[in-house]
Amino acid sequence: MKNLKINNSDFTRNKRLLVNKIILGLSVSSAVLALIFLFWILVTLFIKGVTAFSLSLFFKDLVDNGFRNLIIGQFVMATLATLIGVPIGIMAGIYLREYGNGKYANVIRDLSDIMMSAPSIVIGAFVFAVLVVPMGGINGWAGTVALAIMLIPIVVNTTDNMLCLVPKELREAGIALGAGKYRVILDIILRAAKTGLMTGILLAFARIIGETAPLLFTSGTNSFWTIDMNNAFPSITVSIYNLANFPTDKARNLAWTASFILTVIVLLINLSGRLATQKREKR
Amino acid sequence: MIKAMNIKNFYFTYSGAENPALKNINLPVEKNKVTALIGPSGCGKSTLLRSLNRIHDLYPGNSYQGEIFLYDKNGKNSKNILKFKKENELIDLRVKVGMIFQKPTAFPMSIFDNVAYALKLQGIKNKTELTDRVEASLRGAALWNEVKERLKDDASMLSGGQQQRLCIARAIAVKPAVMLFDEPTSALDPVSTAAIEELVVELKKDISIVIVTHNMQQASRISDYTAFMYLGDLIEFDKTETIFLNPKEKQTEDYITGRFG
Amino acid sequence: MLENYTHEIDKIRKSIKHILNSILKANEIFLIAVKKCDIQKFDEAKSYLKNISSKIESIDNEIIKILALYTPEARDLREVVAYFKIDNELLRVVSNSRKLIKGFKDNCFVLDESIVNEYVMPLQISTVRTIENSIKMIGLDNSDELKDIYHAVMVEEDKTDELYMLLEKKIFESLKNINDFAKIHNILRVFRRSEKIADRTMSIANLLLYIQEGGTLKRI
Repeated sequence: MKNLKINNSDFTRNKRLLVNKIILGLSVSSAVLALIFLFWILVTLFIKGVTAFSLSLFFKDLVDNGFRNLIIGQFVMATLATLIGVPIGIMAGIYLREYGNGKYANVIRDLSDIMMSAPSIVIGAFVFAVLVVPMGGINGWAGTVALAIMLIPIVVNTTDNMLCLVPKELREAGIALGAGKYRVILDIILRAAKTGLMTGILLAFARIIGETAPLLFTSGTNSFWTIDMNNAFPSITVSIYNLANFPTDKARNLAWTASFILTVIVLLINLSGRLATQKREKR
Repeated sequence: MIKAMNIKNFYFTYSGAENPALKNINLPVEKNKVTALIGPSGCGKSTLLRSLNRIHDLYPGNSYQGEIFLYDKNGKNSKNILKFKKENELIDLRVKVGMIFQKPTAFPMSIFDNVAYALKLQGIKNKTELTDRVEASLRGAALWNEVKERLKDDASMLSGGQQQRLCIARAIAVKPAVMLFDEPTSALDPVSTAAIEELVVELKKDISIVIVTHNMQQASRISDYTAFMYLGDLIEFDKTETIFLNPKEKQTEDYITGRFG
Repeated sequence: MLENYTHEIDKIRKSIKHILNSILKANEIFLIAVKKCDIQKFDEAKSYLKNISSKIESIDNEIIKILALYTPEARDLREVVAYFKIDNELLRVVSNSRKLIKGFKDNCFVLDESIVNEYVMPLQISTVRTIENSIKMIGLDNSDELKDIYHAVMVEEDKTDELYMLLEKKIFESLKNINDFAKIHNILRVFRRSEKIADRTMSIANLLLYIQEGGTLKRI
């Protein structure tokens, strides 16, 4: 007669395999769910936005139902903010990692992390009080500063992390050759962290180019073509907000199209950042 | 014995530690000879080595007592390196006492720039002089023939053994008096290890060498003097053939014969 | 291998070769001395064997040092171990050579010249050839050449065995009365030394072959 008794270890093993399968199933379905939403957003944007889409949008300003001044304006402010914020952020990151020790460095690091999650509208309100009011009106500089304030903690965080990845032996090797501390940082460590840093900066840029709240009270938007930073400055994000609130269908369609274009721009910047990271890892 | 360095009554305690990591170390480093530091993990051999070029200073909070003397090229005048406080003095020390690490640490730049790095730090700008000295250093590190066609290539393209030799070329470019090797071949394959060992034996003609190794056979093959350490103490120091043939202390013998622990 | 090791093992090879050459010289000159019973030549032969024991002792200590410091493997290990054992054989060869020279010097005129020419000389000539060929084997790593020379050593050593047996027979034949027995026995003991030298040199050759060919150490 055959032995039909399932012994203890068989039961435990089968139970474990079943648990494995359940967890795997849950993970896969969660991932699929997230992807579904992403595609849903993209598809919705595409469908709603494609009706008003035409290449002429890129050559006309908002006053003529085009987006040229908005896109360029947004890029200008984001680029200026990056040019201001990156040096400050990198130097702060270097201080934290290389010179900071003990309490002060940790406090600054924590503050920086908190700033990263600060509500963007609060930052906008702050810059309004500090820059817009004394300067007498909304202007492009205030918008740039607001974006820079958002950018700096991100760059500090990236720099901190990337420098952390540089092996301590590399630092020691530089010192052991008789290099001074700042030389080691400039020549060796920054170079070693170069690709990581550039990717981080690119991704931070992608973040701030899609922000709306910091610009709402600071630089507003402008339907006309202008490069005068002392007045209301064109911004695609603020314009989308305004257009979406307009009672006419035409305005709302423009808002959809602008949203679609903005999403594509941000996606492209993000993708190129990811590609750069992959290329680095392949070496 | 003409000395290159001399360690006297040296104690070292890591930041925040209760007990010293090194206790009352007295050890001479003879000129143009290879001195090996051996002992089980945690015995303090790396700590001692890293004290010789004050690289512990990168991590504040450590404390030490005693004296470490560095002699000039004639073996006569000496300075206590533990008294150096200014960055200039420390930089000068590290030019005279070079260090090679366990992990090959090629800088993220071309092969040429790696070797020329310390030379440029010293202010040498003349292109011909740089090229000559880079070539001389690469030859001295037995690497020239393998890289002479590709000096502009990134150093990360070299194999582990080649990178380690590059680090050696980089260090000897400034003509140090002493070189410290911290387990230089632990991460390398046997062929690269043999190449580096041959290099060390060759280098000692011009440079005094201290090497930390957990490979006893390496110590017996290439060193002239061996120091056996255990738990922060220097148990025995003697000529290598005495240590490996007729050690005086039982602990030394137990370690050499593998009866430790 | 490391330059240090190569340097050390080279020194030992040279020392052993030098010692064997001295032994060879002693035995060659002995040969000349035997022809004319030349006392001076006997002394000259003996002079080549001076101080060899202390040299062999220092080689032994060098070998121990090499084993401790360089942990040789494979062929290197076989070579070091072989030289260690060869040292012992060398001590015996030196001792036998000394006794051969002294013994013959004291008993030079006892034997017939014909016996000396027909048996003693060829015996010693074969012994000398055995030593000569063994010297050629030191440091040689061409397998075929090595085996050829080893074969030559074997041939000459066989000859010494045969020649000694013939010598023994001839001498007993010429035994006239029982009183001569003691004297003849002493003579034979002296000639036996020559045969023993060849025998020991054969062991040396065997060890030299072991270095190249490997396998296990065998006593022949």
